[in-house]
Amino acid sequence: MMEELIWKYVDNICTPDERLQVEKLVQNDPKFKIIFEEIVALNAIFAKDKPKQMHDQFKSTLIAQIQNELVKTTSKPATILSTQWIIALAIPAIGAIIYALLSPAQSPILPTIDVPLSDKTIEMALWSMTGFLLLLLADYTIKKMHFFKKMSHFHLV
Amino acid sequence: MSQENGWISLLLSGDRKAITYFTDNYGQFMYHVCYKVLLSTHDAEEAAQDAVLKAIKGLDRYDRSASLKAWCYTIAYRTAIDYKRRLKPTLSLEQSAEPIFDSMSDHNIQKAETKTGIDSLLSHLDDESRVIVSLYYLEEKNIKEVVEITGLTESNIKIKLFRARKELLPFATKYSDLINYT
Repeated sequence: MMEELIWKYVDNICTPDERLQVEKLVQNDPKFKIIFEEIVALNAIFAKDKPKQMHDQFKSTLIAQIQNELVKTTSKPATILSTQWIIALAIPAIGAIIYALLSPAQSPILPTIDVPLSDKTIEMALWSMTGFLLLLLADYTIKKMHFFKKMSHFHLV
Repeated sequence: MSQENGWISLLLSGDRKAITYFTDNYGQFMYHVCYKVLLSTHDAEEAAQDAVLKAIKGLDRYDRSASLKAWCYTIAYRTAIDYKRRLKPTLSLEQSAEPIFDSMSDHNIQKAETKTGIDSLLSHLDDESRVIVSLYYLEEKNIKEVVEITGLTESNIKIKLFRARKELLPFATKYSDLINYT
């Protein structure tokens, strides 16, 4: 309790009454005075604590590493398709290929569906595959363009 | 906050001034936190480097309505604690959290203290209390600032501060003499 009061005094968060109380106790109570002086000394030590400064060489290394990291991080391209979309589109596309290439009776995936393979079905499967491949190609091109743009920006900086 | 958003965008685009600003302010702060946990310049540099790069990697995911300093503190503190755990089997005497007063003669204490000063005194505390005490004085005893940085409650910080300072009180006079002497 005594210590708490002194810390409040030292931290300058005590009420005017508490302040008076501490000052009176320091004058009249030798035991209180000893603790008060210890706390003041400890507080003075803490007050000397300064932010630990980085060495210049370390700072330079850190800046260089941040720059390298930013090249890597910001080179992550804006994409047409996220990974989830690629997976989501790949599943029906692969299904369509299997359906188109194998007759339902031979298909390991769709053994129970008895739909005859028409030219229209094959055509649709091929069109969806072509569309999917074009999307992948566009996605890849954008990634490459973004990377080169970022690289040139960092070289200029 | 919008001003902060502005330079973060610049930083993410690789602007050199923004990188330097980040390093001088937030990198420096993260280094200080790592140092207070690890109490070794070499280890603090390794941990701070790791922490700063983690912060950079995650900066695009950082919630810009929250305090960047608090976010950096969390990364730095956790990274330093992880680093210390990995380091523990090979801790040197200087890095040990064990109070050095118990096992050293006065002469040796004086030698050790003149080398590390306030940090030796703080080494008597656990990691979290050491960082809290340091932040409290660094932030000029602004408890609200410490609350914002650490994410702990005000009463929790007050309790930790009181306990930590009480724990260090028996060493006050001795350390005070040594620090004044140096």
